[in-house]
Amino acid sequence: MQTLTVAERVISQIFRDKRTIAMMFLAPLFVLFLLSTILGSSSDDVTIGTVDVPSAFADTLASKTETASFKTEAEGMDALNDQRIEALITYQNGQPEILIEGGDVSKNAAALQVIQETLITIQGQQATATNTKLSETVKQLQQRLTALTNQTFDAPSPVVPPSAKPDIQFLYGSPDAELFDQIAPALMGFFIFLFVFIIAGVSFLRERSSGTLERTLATPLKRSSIVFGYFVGFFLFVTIQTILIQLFIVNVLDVTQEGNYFLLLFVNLLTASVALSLGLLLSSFSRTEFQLIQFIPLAIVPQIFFSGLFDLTDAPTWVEVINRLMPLTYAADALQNIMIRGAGFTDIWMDLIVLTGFMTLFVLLNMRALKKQRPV
Amino acid sequence: MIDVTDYSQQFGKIKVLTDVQFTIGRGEIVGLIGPSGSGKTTLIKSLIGLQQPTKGTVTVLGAKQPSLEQAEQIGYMAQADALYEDLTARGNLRYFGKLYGLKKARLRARIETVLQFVDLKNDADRPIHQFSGGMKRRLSLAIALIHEPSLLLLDEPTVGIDPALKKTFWHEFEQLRRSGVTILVTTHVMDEAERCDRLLLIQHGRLIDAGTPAELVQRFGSIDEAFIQKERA
Repeated sequence: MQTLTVAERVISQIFRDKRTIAMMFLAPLFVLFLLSTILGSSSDDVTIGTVDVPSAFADTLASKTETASFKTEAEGMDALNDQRIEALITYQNGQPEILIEGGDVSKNAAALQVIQETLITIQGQQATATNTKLSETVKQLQQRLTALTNQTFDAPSPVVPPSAKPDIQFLYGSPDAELFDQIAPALMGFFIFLFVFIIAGVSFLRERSSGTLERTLATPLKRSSIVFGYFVGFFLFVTIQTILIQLFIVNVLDVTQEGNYFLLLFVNLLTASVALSLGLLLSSFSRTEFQLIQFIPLAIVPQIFFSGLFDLTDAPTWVEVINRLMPLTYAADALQNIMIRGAGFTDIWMDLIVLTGFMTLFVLLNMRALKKQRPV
Repeated sequence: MIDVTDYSQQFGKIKVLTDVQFTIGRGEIVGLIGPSGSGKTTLIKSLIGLQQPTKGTVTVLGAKQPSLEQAEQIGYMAQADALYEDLTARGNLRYFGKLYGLKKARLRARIETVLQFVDLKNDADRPIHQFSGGMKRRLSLAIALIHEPSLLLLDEPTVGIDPALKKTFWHEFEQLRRSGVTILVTTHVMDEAERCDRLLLIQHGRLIDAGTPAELVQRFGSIDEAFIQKERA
């Protein structure tokens, strides 16, 4: 009952602050939209310069990407320096020599891939040509032998190299899934964590500094009712936030969503609970809003790195340890598994248990901090 | 109503109150007088039950503090206006009223009564951040009264308000006393001290003297003089 009273107050306070509402609901949508656009606008189109290469090579290359041929190597070097081309290919003694510009990682990789594909195609063509020549020679020899000895010889028929195009299928997702599809679920978790942390932390800090917390504690309410009142109040906003983000990324940004919406909401509420209890806890270690905001680079920003945006398979042990200590690691893992792989409760229960553990720990520490304000 | 025995309060190594002892009976207005930093607010906070006494006992309304038992019967007005700035006056009253366990019909009636009492009826639906300092003090008093407490603990209720409002406040305190409410009020303004039934003088965390304003004036010449003489002694 008292929990609901506190929740009602938290809700009406936030609803009266229009800017906070706008920030909570619209800022994540804007940032997600921006990121989706930025990630979608990177181009893998590369231009490769050639100087005096065999026509077969030039033709094959041209069929795969844009090319520019130069008369001299110096001209090609100029183009490379001006970044008009990503790679320059010259032939020395019949061998290709490749110079990569090297300033743009993804474009370099694309250029290398195109060149390698071209080389493989050329080698394939050469091999087929050699094969054909060889089998023709063998045939001629056979005919000669037959004519000379009246005997027939069985020569092995030429081996046809296996088709270069394997059948590729996706267990989850689709070939046109983009990087954004992979990070969108993690980012949703991150935004919920960030906004709940900031808004709850600042609200609670204000309660401390304005004396309303002490005034509230002078009433006969239980200490836990304050913390859980905040929980219930913020659950409303996180639910709205989840619905908005889901509608937006699925319908507008076209992100893959294979999972159960209620499970997603549950994970988000749990994530919000962790963020909320952490925000309330850290607010008791801050004297001002400014000091609370200083926790963000330390407690929040590193969590982005561990939220599944980067592959940490080869990371050193200490990074792995930090990874395991970050609540968002588990939230992002659960959200990605639900949205991309359609995971159910039984697939992500470990994540949920760890998140619940974090929440319980923070809530207990909160109660202890509040005990300083009122011993009973 | 209040029985404080042998009470000391220490925060880390800092002794804030030492061997404080006094009792307050029903229907009294008692003034807790002392310079700032003498321990008045700390004493009030112990009476509400916001801290564990380092030594001795603090008994309020028959139960030892800290405890939640008596909280429903204590009205508290803090030194700072502890109000939710985003909410309206009515919103603040409703929140605290509910925390004190008031039910719907009674809550609604009490809100109107206390708004009338502190003359904020016309501003009841404005958010607090539009309020003047005096209006905030009045609302703080209204919140302290919302649940009809039998004991009022007022920490510097008249600091920073104009003389006319101060007069109204004291008029209201006397009205409450007539209805049987016990009031403990801290102040360092001497003309307020003279309106109390009894005074507790506090200095450097010790209770240095007590008595009616008339007695103290008779013994020391004035209340200010009492502090000066005690300081020398």
